[in-house]
Amino acid sequence: MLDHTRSEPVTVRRPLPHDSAELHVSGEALYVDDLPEPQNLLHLAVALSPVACADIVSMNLDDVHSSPGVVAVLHSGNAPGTNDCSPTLGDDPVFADGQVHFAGQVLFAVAAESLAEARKACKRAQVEYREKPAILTIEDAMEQQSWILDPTVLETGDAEKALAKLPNRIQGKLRTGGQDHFYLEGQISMAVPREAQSMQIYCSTQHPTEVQQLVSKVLDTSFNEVIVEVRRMGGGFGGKETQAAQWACIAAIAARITGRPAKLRLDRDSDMIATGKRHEFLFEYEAGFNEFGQIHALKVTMASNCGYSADLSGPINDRALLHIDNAYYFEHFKAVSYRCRTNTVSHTAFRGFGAPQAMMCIERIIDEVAATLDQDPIVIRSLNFYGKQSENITPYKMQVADFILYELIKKLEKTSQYQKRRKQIRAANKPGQILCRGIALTPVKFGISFTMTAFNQASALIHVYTDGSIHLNHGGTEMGQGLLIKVAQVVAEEFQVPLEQIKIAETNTSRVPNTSATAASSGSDMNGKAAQDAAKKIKRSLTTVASRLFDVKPQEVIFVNGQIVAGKQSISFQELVQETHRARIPLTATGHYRTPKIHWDRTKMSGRPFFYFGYGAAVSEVEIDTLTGESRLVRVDILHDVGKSLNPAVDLGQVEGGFVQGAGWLTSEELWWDNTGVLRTHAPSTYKIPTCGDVPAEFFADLWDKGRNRVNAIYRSKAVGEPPFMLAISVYSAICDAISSVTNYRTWPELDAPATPERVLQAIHALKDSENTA
Amino acid sequence: MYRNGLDGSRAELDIGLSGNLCRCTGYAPIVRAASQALPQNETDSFSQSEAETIASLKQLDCTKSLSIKHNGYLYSIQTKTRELKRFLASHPDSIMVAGATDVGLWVTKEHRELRKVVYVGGIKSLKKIRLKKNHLNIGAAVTISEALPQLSKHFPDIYEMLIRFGSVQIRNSATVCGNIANGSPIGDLPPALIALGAKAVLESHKGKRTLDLEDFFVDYGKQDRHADEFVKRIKIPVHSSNCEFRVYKISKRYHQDISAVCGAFFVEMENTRITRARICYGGMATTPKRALNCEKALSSAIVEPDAFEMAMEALQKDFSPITDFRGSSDYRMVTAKNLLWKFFLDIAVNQRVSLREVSHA
Repeated sequence: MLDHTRSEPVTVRRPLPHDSAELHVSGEALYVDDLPEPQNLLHLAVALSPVACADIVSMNLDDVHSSPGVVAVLHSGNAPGTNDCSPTLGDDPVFADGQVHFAGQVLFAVAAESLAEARKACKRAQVEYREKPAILTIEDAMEQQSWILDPTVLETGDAEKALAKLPNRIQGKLRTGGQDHFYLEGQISMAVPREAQSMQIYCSTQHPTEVQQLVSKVLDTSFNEVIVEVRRMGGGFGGKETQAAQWACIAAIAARITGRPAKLRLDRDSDMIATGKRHEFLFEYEAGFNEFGQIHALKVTMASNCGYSADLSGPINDRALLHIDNAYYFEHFKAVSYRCRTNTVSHTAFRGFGAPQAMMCIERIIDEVAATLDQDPIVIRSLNFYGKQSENITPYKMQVADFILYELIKKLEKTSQYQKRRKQIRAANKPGQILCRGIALTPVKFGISFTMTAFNQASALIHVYTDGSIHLNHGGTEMGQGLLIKVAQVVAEEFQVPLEQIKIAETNTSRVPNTSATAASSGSDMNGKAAQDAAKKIKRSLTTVASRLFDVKPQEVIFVNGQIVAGKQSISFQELVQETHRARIPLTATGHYRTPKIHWDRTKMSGRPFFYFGYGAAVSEVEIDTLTGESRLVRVDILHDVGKSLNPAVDLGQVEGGFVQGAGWLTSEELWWDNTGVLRTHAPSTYKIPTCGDVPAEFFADLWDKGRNRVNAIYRSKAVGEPPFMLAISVYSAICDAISSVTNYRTWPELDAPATPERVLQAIHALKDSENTA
Repeated sequence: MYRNGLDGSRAELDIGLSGNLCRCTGYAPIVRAASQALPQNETDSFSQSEAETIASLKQLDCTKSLSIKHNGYLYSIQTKTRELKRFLASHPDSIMVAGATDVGLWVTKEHRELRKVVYVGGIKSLKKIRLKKNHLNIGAAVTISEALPQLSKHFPDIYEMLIRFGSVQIRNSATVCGNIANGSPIGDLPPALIALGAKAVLESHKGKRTLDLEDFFVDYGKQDRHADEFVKRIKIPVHSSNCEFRVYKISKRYHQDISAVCGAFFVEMENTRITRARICYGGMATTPKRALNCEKALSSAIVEPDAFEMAMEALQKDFSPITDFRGSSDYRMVTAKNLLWKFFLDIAVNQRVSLREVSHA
């Protein structure tokens, strides 16, 4: 018997496999480079500047032109439209125009009959540079006041005055390094010229609409001449939000100039040299606290290396400002953000978008306060947490109304046996011992929504065909994160049909226009709601037809288990669809969603930029080798809040993957530029993301079972893309704890990230030296 | 791993998967899937076509030497050492490859055009591993994977180095002698082999000569190999029980990384007195290099802290390492010293000194 009264959802909240899981595993999932190549396809390669800052005195491309197989050479002189692919300020030339601003900037591109010929031809240019002094470091930029955007202040209370009055103060510095996205599928675009001015672009991007707009710009056509399609990406992590456009633009220009389809796939080295990364940050902080460790005043300056152009550095640094509080209340607070312009690649979005760096700073401060007072850092964390009734206003004047970290941490403390293990570790770490362990628990609070309010909207388009099958389109893109399955679950739930009945379409700008990037963890929240809206519209039509058919009121019509039921009458979904079609009622609808409640005044740095917060916490235990500085992750316990998960299997995957990526950022992943501004770690041989062996056997990740989003997000779920990344701060913190043991926990070590063996060893030596001189 | 009948213990998985990077999952679901799948014993498409696959692979096996000349390019497969000697005599400018794990990158990464290449990996007589007169002989075409059991049996401490050498895929292709012949200053094996007192046997149409391995490395990018010579085999003395041998590799990542510093330590002892010390480092100079001053400080010393502290200081005279993205000069020097100290603790004091307990079953 059908249970007509059932209100529990049947398709959402189930741990269903990723819609492409089998295709991924069998290798049949199609990425751009797997698409059948059109006849006459041209292959593209780019030539990159070897110098960081120079005027181009001359660029002789004769030998490039005459190189075998070369069909066209593209440069700033022959772009059909505007030579710019910037997402914001118009400061990202597609091809260098008279000047180079960083080592790795694209000088020109070659279109040839084969990829080998294109790459070979690129090496044949004769370019003469007049080198100019380059600004390569944050320190240099700060000294020369080289800003790409104006400094920004976030302030509440009077930090200066309060600091002066507080007897307990700490001050320090922290540097957090950048990070390469290292998506396994590199940047790629294929442009296929269609009739007249039209251009179809197959692109691996998180932001098809922006690619469409920028391709239009470089081709000097209107947006409606360009169609961008994304089936899936092999990883994005923010690296394909703005960074995919340049390659799409170059492919489009080649296709326009030659009239032939053209594909540009960067090799790994070019990809790592020519595309932006996570911003490196330099923090200087001062905190004042009472005898219990409650921080009353905090003053921070944060300077980030933005690279040579603005890109998304504005919102990234804003998000850093909005997350330096992490989970803590500060009565007196002042943070100044400097956005440094340097002659390095323009740094860009990366999972967390500035927040991970800022949260590293505050978690370090908390640890240091705890060490100063000889307290368990958990005590100091809890003491400074946002309050439930009071002390719950952020420095940007938003009330934290959904704070769950007290309960969450209590549970994690118990399941991870944190207290017991901490005692054991401290007892086992004997002076003079070679191997020392450390443990730390760190929390995450992460604001969900784009700080740019206008981006918080999404659209969807659903068709129901007369056989009952459903075609689902929305503006979100799939980068392996499981967005498409989650949205499909929402639609299946709405129609009460099996998931298999839904065909998930690739993302295409001609079907769903004017979309936001799949970014800021917002994909499921926004596209889920937009698709639900579209489904509800079609459902209303179906309901009207069913109520006529059954001669009942519309509210008596229920969709359940593939059937449409009213009392004892029922009809299958497919039959009702056919009835609706015969009644000449459309079976297609668009849906739209705008995130409610949010508002943001950038000039005052105040408002409610976030719809809600995501929460989580992690305990990491590490072991370090005090002779070499090597470290090893011993055990990880995670408890993460995803509200009522749309798909616990997919969400758990995001939690585990995010954590490990974060651990890589803070330990082995080191970007190393030489003193001429050339990146020397641009391949897997030199840039080290975690391998399987870096993940401990004791790796326990759980979703918070009491989770429920207090705002009306899709099925009360919470965003999961970015927040888990910052759980890895516990790894850094645990390494500091282990280092601290070498001087019997009297001092908290100075340690920059990534905590490579070299930095860990330096920190150990610095601690020992300070003890000796003290 | 499935075809090799491995049962999916975590240590096996870490080794087996070290050549497969994943950026999305954090490996957790991959580990879960692998440990479920590996113990099963079901036929799959690979086992169904096994006989066919083996047969077609065997067809690829070249039994006769073969050369292809085209447009000024010469590609050759040599199957007999006699023929190889003749070939090298007339084509001393050829690039020799066995596993091509290094030279392959010249092509795929640097887009270099190699005009003359000769493949020596298929010469059967160079595929041999033999214990002869207390020496382990490893032929030029023996891969790291093939050598691993014998090397680990005779020199247990080298096992950890070998499972960190590239990845399974690389080890199945790369050769022990190739890791020497390419002359890298940070090759994984030379420091260990030099510390053990290995010799390289080189051969050409003019004859054969045997070199102490450390003498093979002349300078950065320069080896004592005449253009018409090839490294035929490596001879490693198998020592008596009165000796200690350890090798420690330091890199940013544990698996599949290149050393910032690699230290290999070998001492022969009478009771607690060191009678002979051979110490070699990688990553500290333009070649893998013995620390002669350090060795001197230790020879005939008693295994005690004082002697080792002096030996650590002596390293200052042996090396002046460079700074690069793998580590600064300071870090390399400090770590080189500390590795010697670690060696002392390892042999003299009963204390765990390494983050990972790895042993060859």
